[in-house]
Amino acid sequence: MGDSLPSERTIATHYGVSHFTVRKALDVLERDGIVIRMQGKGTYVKSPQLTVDLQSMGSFSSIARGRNSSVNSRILYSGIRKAKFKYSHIFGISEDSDVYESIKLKISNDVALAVEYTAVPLKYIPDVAEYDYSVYSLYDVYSKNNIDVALEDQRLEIVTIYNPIASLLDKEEGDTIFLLTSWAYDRVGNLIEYTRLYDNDDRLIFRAHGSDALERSEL
Amino acid sequence: MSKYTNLINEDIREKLEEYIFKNNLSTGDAIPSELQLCKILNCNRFELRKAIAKMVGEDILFTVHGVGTFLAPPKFEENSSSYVGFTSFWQSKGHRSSSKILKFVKTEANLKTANMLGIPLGSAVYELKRLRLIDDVLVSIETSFLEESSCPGLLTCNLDGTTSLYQVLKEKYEMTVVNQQQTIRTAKLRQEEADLLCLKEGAPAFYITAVGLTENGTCIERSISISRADRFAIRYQAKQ
Repeated sequence: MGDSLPSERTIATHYGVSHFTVRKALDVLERDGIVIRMQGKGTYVKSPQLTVDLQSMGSFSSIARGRNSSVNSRILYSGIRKAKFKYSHIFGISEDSDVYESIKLKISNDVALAVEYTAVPLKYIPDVAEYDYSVYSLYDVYSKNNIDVALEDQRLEIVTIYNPIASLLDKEEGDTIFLLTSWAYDRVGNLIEYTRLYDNDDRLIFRAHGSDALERSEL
Repeated sequence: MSKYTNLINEDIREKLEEYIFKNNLSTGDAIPSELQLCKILNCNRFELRKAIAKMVGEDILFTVHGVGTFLAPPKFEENSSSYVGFTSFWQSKGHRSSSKILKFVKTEANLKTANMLGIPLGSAVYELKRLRLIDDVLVSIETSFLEESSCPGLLTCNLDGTTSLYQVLKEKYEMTVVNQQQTIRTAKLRQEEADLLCLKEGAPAFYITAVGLTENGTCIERSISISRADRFAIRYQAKQ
C-alpha cells in the first residue's frame, strides 16, 4: 500500500511484453481501484477501499459493525434552524418549524471517508438535539423515541466538489466524488431524516443487489 | 466550531432553489443574469457565483459561456434495488431505450470472467459491447460476457436496437436473470469512451461491474458498464 510500481518501460522489459500491453494492464488495475496513476509521478498501489452495501440501513453504521470496525465520527457542527423553504419542501413541514442539522466527518484510521449532512425535523424526534452523538447514533435515538426506520430511499450520484468539503476529504476543488442522498421513512411513511453523504471515492465503493422479487413486492 | 460555519451556510443556494421552484423554471429554462439575481436574492456576486458553481457541480444547472446559466435535465435514475436489465427497466419507467452494438464476438474467457462465470480459464465466451441510449441520449457503454455453452448460437441473434439481451436469454435459452449484483466505482472517461459518448476525455463516470444470476444462483452474465455521471444516477430502496 502506497508503494510505487516500476515504470511502464521496466515492467515491459521484465515480462517481455509490449509497452501497449503494460499500459492496458495498468488501465484495468486503475479501473478496479488497485493502483492510482499520478501524472508525471508514476503508479502507486492504493489502500484497499471500504465497501458500503446500499441494502444495509444506516450504511455507515453497518461498516462500523463489520470487520472494518474503526470508522468513527467527528461532529463538525450541530444546531437547530427554521425549516424555511429548503426543509419545508423536503419534509412537507411548515417553513417556521424547527429542524435539527448536523455535519459529521467520518474517519477511519485517521483517513477522512465522508462528510455527512443530516437534517431531522423536531416534529418527529423532539429531543434529537439533546444526545451526545460521539456515543449514540441517530438510529439509537430514533429507537429511544419508538421510531423505526422502515425504508431508506437512496440516490447515488457523482458530483464536483468545492471547499470546504474538498479539503476535509483531502481532495482538490473541482474533483468529483460520490454523493449519496438518502431519505429515511418510519413505519407510517413520515420522512424523518434527510442525509447527504459526500464520500471520498478513493476510499469507498458501493454494492447493490437488485432482484425482480423486490420489484414485484413493491407493486 | 466557527471554523466550520461555512459548511452549513448554504443561504444563497437555498434562496436560488426557492426562486427556481416558485417561478416554475424547468429543464432548459435560463435563470436570471448574475446582476439581476444579486438583487433578487440580496447577495453579492462572489456569494452567488459560489452557489451557482455548487449547483453546476451537482448537474442541477449548466452554464454556456457567454450565453447564460440554465436548468439541467434531471438525471436518469436506474433503480438498482429492482433492476433486472436495461431494456425492461427503462421501458417500464416510460423511457425509450435502445442499444447500438459496438462489438459482438466469440472469444476466450480471461481470469476474471472465468472466475465470475465459474468456468475454466480460456472457455469460449461471447463478448457483447453495446452503446446504450435512453430517450436518445448516449448514456452508457456496456460490455457483457456470457458462456458460449449456455447460449450457443447467440451470435446469430439480433441484439441491436430495442432488443433485450435478457429477453432473448429467456425466450430462446430459457434462462432468466432474477438477481443482479453490482459493484459501483467512479472512473474518468478514456479517450475512446469519451468519443463514443460525445463527451470530453476525463469526464466523470460510473464504473459498474455486475453479475447476473438465475433463480438457482447460477451466474450467467458478467458485465462492465461505464455510465456518464452528468446524466446518470443510481436509486436504491433499502427496507427493514
